[in-house]
Amino acid sequence: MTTTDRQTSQIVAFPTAQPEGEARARVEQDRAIGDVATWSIQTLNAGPGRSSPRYDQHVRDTVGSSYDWSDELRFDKRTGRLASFVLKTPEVGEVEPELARSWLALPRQAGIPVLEDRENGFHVDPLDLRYLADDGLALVVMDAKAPVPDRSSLRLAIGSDVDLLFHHGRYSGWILENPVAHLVAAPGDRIPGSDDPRLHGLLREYLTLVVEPNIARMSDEDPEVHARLQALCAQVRSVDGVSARALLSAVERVLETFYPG
Amino acid sequence: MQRAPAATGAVSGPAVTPPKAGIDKDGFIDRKDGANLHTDPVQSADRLVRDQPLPPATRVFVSGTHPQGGDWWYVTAFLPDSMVRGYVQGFRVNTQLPEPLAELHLVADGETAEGLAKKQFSSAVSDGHDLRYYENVLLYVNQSRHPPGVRGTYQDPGMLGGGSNNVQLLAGELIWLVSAPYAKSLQSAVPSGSLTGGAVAKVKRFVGHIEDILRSVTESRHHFGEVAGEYAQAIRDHLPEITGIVAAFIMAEATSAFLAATPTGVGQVAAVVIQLALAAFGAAGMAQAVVEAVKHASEWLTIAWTAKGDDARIAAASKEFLKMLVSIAIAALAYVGVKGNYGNALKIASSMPTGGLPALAVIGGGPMGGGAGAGTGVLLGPSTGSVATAGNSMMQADKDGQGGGGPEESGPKVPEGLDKRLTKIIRDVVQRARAGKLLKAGNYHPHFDDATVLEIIRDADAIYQSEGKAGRLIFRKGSDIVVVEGPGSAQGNVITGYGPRGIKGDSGAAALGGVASDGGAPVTDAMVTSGTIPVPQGRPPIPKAVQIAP
Repeated sequence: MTTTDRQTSQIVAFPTAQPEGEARARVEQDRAIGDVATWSIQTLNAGPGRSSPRYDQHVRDTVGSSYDWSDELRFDKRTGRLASFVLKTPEVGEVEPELARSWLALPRQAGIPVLEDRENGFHVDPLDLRYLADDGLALVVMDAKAPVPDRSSLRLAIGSDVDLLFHHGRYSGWILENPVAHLVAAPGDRIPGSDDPRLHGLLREYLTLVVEPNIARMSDEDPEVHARLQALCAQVRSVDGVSARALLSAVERVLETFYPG
Repeated sequence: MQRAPAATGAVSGPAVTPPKAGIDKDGFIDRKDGANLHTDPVQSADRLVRDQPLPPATRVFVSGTHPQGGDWWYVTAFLPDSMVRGYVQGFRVNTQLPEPLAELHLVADGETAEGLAKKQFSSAVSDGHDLRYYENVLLYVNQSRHPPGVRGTYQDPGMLGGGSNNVQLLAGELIWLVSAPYAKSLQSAVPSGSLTGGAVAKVKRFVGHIEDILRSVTESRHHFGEVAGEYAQAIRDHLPEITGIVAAFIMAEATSAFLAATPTGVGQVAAVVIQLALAAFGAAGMAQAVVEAVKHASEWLTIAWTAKGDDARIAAASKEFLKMLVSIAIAALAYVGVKGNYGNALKIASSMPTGGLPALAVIGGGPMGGGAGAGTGVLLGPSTGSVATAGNSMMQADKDGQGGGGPEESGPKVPEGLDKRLTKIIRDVVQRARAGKLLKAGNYHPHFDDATVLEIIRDADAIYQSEGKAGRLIFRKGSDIVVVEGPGSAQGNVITGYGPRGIKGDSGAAALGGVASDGGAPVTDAMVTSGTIPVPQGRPPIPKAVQIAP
């Protein structure tokens, strides 16, 4: 396939929940989103923070979806290029490891989606499943119906360490490489910038623990899950560093939400 | 009682470009290098209002933004010897206070958590056990600050004497200090500490009063048409600046006087506000009483103090506030000899000394901080009894149990048979709101101040769940809504809000008309359930939602 072929053929679409349908975009090769992504475990973010003074202006300059009601993807009104995102880390369950590995094996292609219709906003539902690679160096998030990738699959590297996944042009997931290097207590915080292997096991324990049906058990104030969360909290607290503090903040937040007092 | 020496040089410093109203929040300079104060940062004629930046941890009141640059925030600050106003970069100001009475503090070399806890909470500390609890509070309220100014681990409050200084301060960093009653209210989150219910109730009531008074000031611009008159034009163009001065004064200097809750102290707040306005208008040398202004000031404070968040009463207070300003403008115009063209007659000082302002009430045996303590008293109107009227009325309201707050168990009833997880989320969120606590999502997008969010949740008329995978919960009170996370690890965390009690913002104004500082469009039950809440172009439609309570 020539470069020209790829440029003309690479159309992708984000399934939209409201209005029901899809938001079509073309891929602009070799371009990346400007901001470095932060990962607060709850969400993967890039662009102006929703609490920042710049956000209102950003919303005015862009079109797309809003985290108020769904995952957030904002595209520049003038150029159509993806300008920012807030993507929820799923909590429904885990991606089948083999399936995740097969997507991780795809080559990365640098580029950015450019939205075609920039008149109206839409909703993009959050995805369902997640998977932390065995070596802790990649987080894979996927739609529950995403198949094994084939020649029509695309791993679009939209920025440093962040890829969007498409199958037959349809948005199916995202990958964050070196998740610990992007770990922050809150979106907008400065990222650690480097991996910390001491946290791989603790992060895996968090992701194993804070997921359905455990979250439902937490909602019932299950003492066993509570004890495991407290133990995790103590373990994380014994590790120093920016990433550890971010993870600690996430664990404490869960404890505060489900086990106040 | 003698009138204090008048402030001189009232209209001084370079002219500051009038701001676009909006924001209306109390905040602090949250940068270690402070914040330069500009007259017009967007234009080439920009100058600095003062040579030095506003120091880190300076309390400011944010009244709005630059008309051409929303990133530049218009602030008013009461420094130890002067009031200054102008534009600073928005990101240098933190308006997300952990509680309304919180203060930002720059940790000094050698300062310790124990020493700071003693200084800040001395009136609440009864023994070594309590002191350790308050050190834990310092750690707790600063845990999410970055870079951290407090570090360490919670220490055992039961351990008397000795100890290992588990909680440490980092010199040169900024940290939050909270009021003692608020610290006590954290006992469910912070290890140990004994709760003094009366103190907590008192501070909640008090904060409600202050918030209502501030609302009556900042929302006064919505009532200009109802308080018209030939002199109204004299203040119309300067209203954002004047409300900034008054609101900054209330937060920086007057809270202690209100908290002291003595009629004389509270009444003198009204007197000082009048003096401030006169000084701002360049009429600080006026020696004569402003009887009409005193009357309206008393009405303003009394109505606002007893409003209990009621929109109609706050609107009535706002009108009295405007009438007070018009009375002052009339006096000031006469003083400066203006007989026509009122619209441009008054200039507002970009900075003015506050050393001549009268003293306020004292609390805890000490004088008020700041420059307002330098004077000795004030005579405005026929007697000090006039200005004390406001204080008397307000105190009586509290004695009668009418002041602030509301029925503890108000709010929506959760129907029997509702999904137990949704029931749990609703109960937790409402319970937290009743305790004055708000868990904000990491992606929180504010449209309301925290007090309004808490009130909407606490006293919601109805609760809904949105369609779609995200399944947000919506709390509606009247025509305002608050959106929180649905089931999940962040369940109940507040995401955003919409409605007339918030602001449209730039995007809302562009799509719906009006200006960014206007209240948002009303949200009705029908709009929520049919997915027809108005949104600006480019923003997604709001999903339909199903009512789940009551």
